[in-house]
Amino acid sequence: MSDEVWRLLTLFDYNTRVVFFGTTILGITAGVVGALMQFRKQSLAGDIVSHAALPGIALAYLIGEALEPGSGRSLWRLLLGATISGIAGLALASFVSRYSRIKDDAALALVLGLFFGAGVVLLSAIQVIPGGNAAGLGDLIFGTAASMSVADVWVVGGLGLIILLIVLAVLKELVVVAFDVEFSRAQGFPVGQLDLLLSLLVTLTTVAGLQSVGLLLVVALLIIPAAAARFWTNNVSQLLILAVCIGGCSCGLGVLISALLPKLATGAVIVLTGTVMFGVSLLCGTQRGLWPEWQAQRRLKQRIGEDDLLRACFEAVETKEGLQQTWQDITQAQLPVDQIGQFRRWTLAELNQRIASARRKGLLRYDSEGNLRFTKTGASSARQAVRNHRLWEWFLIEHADIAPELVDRTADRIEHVIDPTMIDELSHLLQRHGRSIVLPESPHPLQEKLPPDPSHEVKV
Amino acid sequence: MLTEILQQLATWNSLDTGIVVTAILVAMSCALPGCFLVLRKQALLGDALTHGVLPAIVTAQLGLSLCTSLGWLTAAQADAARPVVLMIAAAIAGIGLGLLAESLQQGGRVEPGAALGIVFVSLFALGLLLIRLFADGLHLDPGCVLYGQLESVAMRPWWGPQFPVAAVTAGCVWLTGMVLLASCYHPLLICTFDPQHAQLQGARPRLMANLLLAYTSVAIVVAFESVGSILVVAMIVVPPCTALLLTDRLWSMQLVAQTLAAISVVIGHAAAIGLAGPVCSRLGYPQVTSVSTAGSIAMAAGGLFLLVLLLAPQRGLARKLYDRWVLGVRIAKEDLLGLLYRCEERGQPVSLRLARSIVQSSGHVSQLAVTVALRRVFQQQLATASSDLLVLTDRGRSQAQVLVRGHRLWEAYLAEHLRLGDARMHTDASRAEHFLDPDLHQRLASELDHPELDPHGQTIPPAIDGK
Repeated sequence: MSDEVWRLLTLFDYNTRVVFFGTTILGITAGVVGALMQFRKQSLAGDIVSHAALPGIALAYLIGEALEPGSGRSLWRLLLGATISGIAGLALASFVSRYSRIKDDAALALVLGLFFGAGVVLLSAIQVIPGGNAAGLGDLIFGTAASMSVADVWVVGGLGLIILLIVLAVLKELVVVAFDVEFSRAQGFPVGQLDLLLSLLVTLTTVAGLQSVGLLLVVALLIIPAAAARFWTNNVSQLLILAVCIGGCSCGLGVLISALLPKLATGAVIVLTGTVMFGVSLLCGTQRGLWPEWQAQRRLKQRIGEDDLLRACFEAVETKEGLQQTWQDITQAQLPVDQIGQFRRWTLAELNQRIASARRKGLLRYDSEGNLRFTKTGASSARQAVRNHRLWEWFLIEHADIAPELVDRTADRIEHVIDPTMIDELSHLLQRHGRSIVLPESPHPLQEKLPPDPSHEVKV
Repeated sequence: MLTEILQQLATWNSLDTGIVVTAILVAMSCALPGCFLVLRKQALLGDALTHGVLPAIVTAQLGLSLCTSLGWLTAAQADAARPVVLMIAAAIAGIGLGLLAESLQQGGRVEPGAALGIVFVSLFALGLLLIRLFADGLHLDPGCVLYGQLESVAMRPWWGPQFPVAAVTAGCVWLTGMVLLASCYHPLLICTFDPQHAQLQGARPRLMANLLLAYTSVAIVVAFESVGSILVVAMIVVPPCTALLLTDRLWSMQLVAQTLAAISVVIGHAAAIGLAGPVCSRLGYPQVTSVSTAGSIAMAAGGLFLLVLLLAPQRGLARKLYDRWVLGVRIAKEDLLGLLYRCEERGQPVSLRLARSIVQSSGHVSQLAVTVALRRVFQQQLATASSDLLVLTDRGRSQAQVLVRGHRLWEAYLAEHLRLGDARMHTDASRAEHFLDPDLHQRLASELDHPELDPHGQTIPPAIDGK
């Protein structure tokens, strides 16, 4: 058994090697073409093409048999038939959606049903014709990469390679058209012809994939790699490269796995390998993945909590000792813990949790007598948080005409996300209005319990 | 050929009736939610669901056979419970698929088509894998799900005559669908066309969308059992699309779609057993006596669609082409009359050939339309040809007068109010003259204080009394 596995993994057998490389080339091609389709938001076109190819395959077989008995099974003829009827399907769909009130998606689904029905009718006739049963056209429906003949792989792999070369030759134009049709028209690109070329490429890719993954699943080769790659990057060329890698890997791995476990359907294994890669990308992708996004959100939440705590501590001291005093040296002050909790309406548990986390980060500390105090870093962070908050408050009051009683809430939300450049701009702006920017006082009473101080009134 | 077809059809027996009844009920149950899917621009969801419910069906089957092998259920009980269990599994799977695709789309920001594609393709692959793995414990093979076993519908005695069992299930599903449709008609209607408005009205679009998904999945499962998935895809989309070309109301769309679904089943089956044999033997394949009924039903539905697309009374392509042709001929005729009037005004009679080439050179009408228009002009005695020169008759002159009046009034109006240049004014008026009626002439004239001359200094002919 292990010997067999070893032979397989090292691609010792000529047959395995050929199938492996042929299918991998196919995956690579489908990755690029699928990415282009995704840019155009037409991911499902491949599904329609693959279903619409069925009557073409059956007709090609029948014609082949009629012309030259015994040659109907020749793969390139079947693929030619598939290509023609796939293109015809796409053409019919665009005709219907253009000249009637049927929408795009319904037109595509309609063509799918109609062509597939026709294909099944033809197949059911072929089954009865002598020799037809052995034709194994059914293989094209469910896919059998592992048992492909070497000659077939050469056809499929060659086709994949040709498509890949064509795509690489006009990649720039295709990408531009996919993103911005108007711009590319203005640039003088032949938009209509490029569109046609892309449809042809999709059809050819789909058709090339029929043999290995089957017509029901071949669309997966087009959709999954591009969608998975999207989680890792926002850059087109990186996305294309990643889609190629994911497409190639899922095809190659799928072939190996299904060669190890011959009971499993190859097409299904290839698709599920791709699905697993998509799942991993969905979870871990650096750009849009769920885990990194969740992490980022958690970090933001933590920072907000921290800022809130530090500002609450600062303001508690400020109400007791006055702004000037607090601003200069706050590390000496004892922080009134119970007052802070009351002030922010936090429960004791919440407050303790926040304090513990701030202590872990070295922002707060307990001194020898058990009083809570700022550390040096904590003091400067607190000063920063208070300054951000107040600058924004003053900005709202002076430039957005918002009442001082209302600015606190809004500033609460925005203070955590304004970046240093914004702070600089704000302080310049407020400096021109003659307000102290190093040390802005709060525009509103810090604690609701305190009587309103007339000096805080704002002159408009 | 005809006699052969009739001979083939003469073999119609109770089995065929059973097949047709089952397929009609299934097709109608599929067309029912299909109308909503087409209107909601989710037609591809039908295709996705047919693939996506496969693992649910397989799992439910496996569960049932596990229960029997463990002795929890007897074989008869399992058989009886099967349809219900499968339907519940499919409904759950359908809603699950919808939710999964939507959360990929929103949470993962995947493009909608791709999200749907990934979900259904992966589920289908999973289903295939399960089938291969547990093939021995299942009476299910992929081909069967695809093509259905319509030709071997199980017939059981039912109140005397033989009746297909599958038809009973399908009938129940269809009735449930109709009851749901009747009871939720209004919320479904507003949720389909305007979800935001529906939300405001308290119609719960979320619930309706899930209901639609669940019902579609149930219909699909019932269809799998009897007619296979191809027919489902076709029946969900094709009859509703055909109906959409014929009607403007949701209820009439439902009615038309379901009727069309039933008609295509009858035509499809008749073609499969009657037409296929003779046609194939003509083509040199005498072995083929019948073809897949499911496939040919799909083709029949598609054929009906194409027919309607061409021939629909209001929106058919043929009607559009015909309208365009009629308009072309009318424009050519009017251009011709206008030309003759102007020539008469200048006292320069024009030859037939010259008139033809002048009208054609305006570029709005085809050569054929001009020929037909000329013939009309002579037939209706609007002009006569004397020694190759065209001369207006009195009737022709009065028609031309109305036309030229419209043209010059419009020019005067454009000059007065929009200050267009001469060339621009003329082309615009030559286009507008065909669409101005005497009432509008009157209004234009009174707006402009009944002018005598147009901006080029030509007389505006007076209105004809009695018009």
